[in-house]
Amino acid sequence: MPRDASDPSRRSPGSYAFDGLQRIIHEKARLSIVSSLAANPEGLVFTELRSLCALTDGNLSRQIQILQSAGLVEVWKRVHKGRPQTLCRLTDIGREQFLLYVAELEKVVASAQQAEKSTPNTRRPSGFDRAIPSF
Amino acid sequence: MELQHALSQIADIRQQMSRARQFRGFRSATTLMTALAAIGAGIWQAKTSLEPTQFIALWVCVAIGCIALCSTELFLRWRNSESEAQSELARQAVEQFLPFVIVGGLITGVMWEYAPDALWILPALWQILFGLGLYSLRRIVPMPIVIVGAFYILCGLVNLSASTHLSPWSMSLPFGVGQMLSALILYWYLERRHAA
Repeated sequence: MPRDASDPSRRSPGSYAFDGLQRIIHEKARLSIVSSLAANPEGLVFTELRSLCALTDGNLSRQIQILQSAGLVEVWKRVHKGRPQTLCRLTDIGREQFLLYVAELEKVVASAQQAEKSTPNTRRPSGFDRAIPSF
Repeated sequence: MELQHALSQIADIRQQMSRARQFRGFRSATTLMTALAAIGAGIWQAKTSLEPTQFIALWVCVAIGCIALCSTELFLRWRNSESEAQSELARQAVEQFLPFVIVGGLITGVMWEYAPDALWILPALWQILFGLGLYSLRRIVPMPIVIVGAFYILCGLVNLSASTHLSPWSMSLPFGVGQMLSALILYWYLERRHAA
């Protein structure tokens, strides 16, 4: 029987599902962009973001456009030290969705940990607890 | 499988956020030059017999040269930087490291003036202060720099316990090896990825 991943009560431990906006963040390049912007609330210059995410100009522009049209990122231009710059930063919605996305991942880990504890006969691999990071 | 994926995503996010807050103003080439200066001074010193005051004067000159080199690079990068975040991190780096340099300078001046018989202790104190300075930068530079900081502190403690005279290698080896390790870490964690 196919699992209804959208209903949290029917999910098996260790599984997850992202809705709407979080699904946009889920893609690897976009997750890397959003994580970088989340660490810099004041925003990042386009060239810096390109270097941090190891993306080409074209790919970064495309991914930012997707994030921008979803309302997760805002882009603006300015002149800094006499040079024109393009800057990006997370919008309030973007930050909120990023935090929800991280919370969803943490929920997966917590529920797997819970399932592990409730099955005492299962052998837990050594270092399991240490492998779970927290924010 | 989904648990593994979630764990790996959390690790990726943490790593990316940490990279995005890293200061990229210290470069491996400049750091390597300071290592070579330390080794060069050690080799020159091993061939010459120096009085304790000459020993200290030589290393003060080497330190001033290295600090001038790194400061010039920092200033040029700050001036040409497009990023306000990097400028802010440069300010933080200077704020965090400068007290250790100032204290090192003051201790040197005081000992030179009032305790010339105890000058042998200075290399150990410099290494401990430098190690603590590197540790203070841990939040804005690649984390393995902490290992180099610990290496400097260990060298300082060994120097403190093992010698009461000024050996040429008591400065040259710790700073030569330590700065080379720092250069390797900076290259590996900051420059290699950017070059890719």
